[in-house]
Order: sequence, then structure tokens, then C-alpha cells
Amino acid sequence: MKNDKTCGEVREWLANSREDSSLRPPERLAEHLSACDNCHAYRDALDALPQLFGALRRNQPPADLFNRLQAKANEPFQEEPRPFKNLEPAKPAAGPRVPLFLRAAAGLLGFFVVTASLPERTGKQQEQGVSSGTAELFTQLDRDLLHSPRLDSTPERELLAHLNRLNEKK
Amino acid sequence: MTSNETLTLDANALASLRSGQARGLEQCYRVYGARVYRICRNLLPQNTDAEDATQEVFLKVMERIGQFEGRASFSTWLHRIAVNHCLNRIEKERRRQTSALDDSLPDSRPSPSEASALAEGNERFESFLRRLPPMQRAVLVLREVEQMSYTEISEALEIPEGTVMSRLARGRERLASMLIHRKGESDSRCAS
Ligand SMILES: [Zn+2]
Repeated sequence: MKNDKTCGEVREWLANSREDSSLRPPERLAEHLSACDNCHAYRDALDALPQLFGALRRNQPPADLFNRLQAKANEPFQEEPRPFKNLEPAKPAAGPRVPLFLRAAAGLLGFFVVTASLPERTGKQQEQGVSSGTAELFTQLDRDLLHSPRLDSTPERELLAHLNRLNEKK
Repeated sequence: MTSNETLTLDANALASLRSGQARGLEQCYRVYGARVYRICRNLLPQNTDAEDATQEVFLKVMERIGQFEGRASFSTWLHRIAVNHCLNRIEKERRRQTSALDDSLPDSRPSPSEASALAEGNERFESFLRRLPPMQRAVLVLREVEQMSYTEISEALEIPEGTVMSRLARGRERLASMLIHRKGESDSRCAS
């Protein structure tokens, strides 16, 4: 009764219909199935699968596996909290180290500019001298600091950029 | 615990896991440990890989719990991590051994330890299962061993349900053929 084409059809039908036991094969395939030993053996093999898979369901992890997992989870806690790193609030990225004298210079500059801008707001008293001195100092610092590749998004640089804008307005 | 129960992690356990408490990991392992272990064991080429892989999956769950948004169920999310972890391991191993293996069937040849495992029933069946392409194997394991629904499998593997069904059918066909072939071999040995 072996007929490769029909055997193929029967096997495909059997494999596709495993999930629904109420399905019955078309008559032509049913006839073939009842007479073909190969297709019979194939159906028996398919029927055996649930039991074989069922045996795999009994596999259990070794009893000490959780203890080993727990040890691994705790391990990195000492230095770096690896498992929980995503839960921690992000720390601000550390900027490049800026020498103390540059920080002091920027601070001083800030002081000058704030002082210089006050008279403008309050009535433009004695602003000329201070503003022009500031502008000079600013130009110097701007050259030295603002374009330095070592300074990237430091507070000093932000302050200088702000001052630059103020200076341009004037 | 039988695997056809719907496994769920209650809200308290999930909160513990999110806040990094050891209790959260313990509860998560208690609910999913055996299933994750079986998935790893049935997907990876060697039984011994399953223990390491199970631990790695739970460590990943802890690392990524902050990214779990609750759009899928926790269970789906965890299964996805487990299966992807195994598939990645298989892929890495395949690349490592690429000159020795057939690309279309990544681990179709039994390893020496598998060859000796062919001796007895379940182990023989496990070795047949491992000869299937990894994604076909994953679908079969989630359906037949873990008894998950088509929808759960489709969500966990991020493939359409139709693909789940066709992979199941093709996987069963190949396993049945291997069983018949094996039986034929042993019958012919008995006859000679
Ligand atoms: Zn036939």
C-alpha cells in the first residue's frame, strides 16, 4: 500500500491535527492509513510523543541550585551592585577635572559680571568701567578656557557661555 | 508543582524583586525555577549547561526588572528572557564550531556524551529533541513540556500563532520520523 505521495499527505495531516482529537482524516487518507504499515508506524510514533515529553516534565533542578544562584547574586554586591544597577538612580556623569585656578578664575569672572550687570537693572550706575574690564577679561578667558577641549559641559563652561551671550547683547 | 498551572508571581513578590530584595529572587525562583531549568535543559545541547544557564537567566531577570513595564505578563517576559538566553548560547556555540557543524541543523550530530546517552529511553528522546533546529525545539518544549498555550508561546517567542502551529507540526513530524528510524535500526539489529 506504500505510496510516497499519499504517505506524505497522511503524515502531514497527522502532524497538523495533533492538537484537535476531534478531527477525522478525509476518507481517501483514512483508507490509506488503515492499509499502510509505514503510516501506521508514523501515527504510533506521534501518539508516543506526549508520553515522552511528559517524562521530560519530571526533570527538576538540583536542590542546591538556588543557593548557588543566591551566592552569585550577592557576590557583586561587595564592590558593584551588578544585579540591581538598573534600579539605582543614575549618578551624574563625572566631568573632566578642572584645575583649581581655572575654577577660581571662572568664579571671579562670574562675580564681576553679576556685579557689572546689577547697575543696568537698577539704573545704569558706573557700569562703563566695570563692563569693559569684564569684557576684556572675558575675551581672554574665552580664548583660554571656552575652546579648551578639556572643558566639556563643566559648570565653568556653561557660565562662560552664558557670559558670552550677555556680552554679545551689550 | 505541575507545569500546566498558570504560573504567576504575586504583586508583593514582584515588588520585592523590583526593590532588589533577596526575598523577591527567592519567590521568583520558587515559582519559575523548575520551569526555567527545564527550558534550559531541553533547549541547550548539554544537560550540564542547564544549571549555569538557569542561574544566568535569573541574574538577567534581576538586572532587567527595571525595564519590565508590565505590557506583557511577567511570566511571558521571563520566558522570553529564558528562551532568548538559550538561543543566544546556542548561536554562540554554533559560531564557535561553525566549521564543524551543518548550518541548517545547528546541533544535529550527537556529541560524544549524547552518543553514550543514546542508551536509555528518556535520554535518547532528549537527544532526538536536540537535533531539531533551536526555534522548532523551543516551540515544542514550551507546548509539550511546559504546556503553554499558543498565545503564550507566540508572545514569549515573539512569533505569530500560525508560525507556532506550523513549527509544532514540523517538529512533531521530524521527531516521529526519528523514532521510527531508531526503531527500524533496533529491529534490524534484533533480526541480525
Ligand atoms: Zn503510507
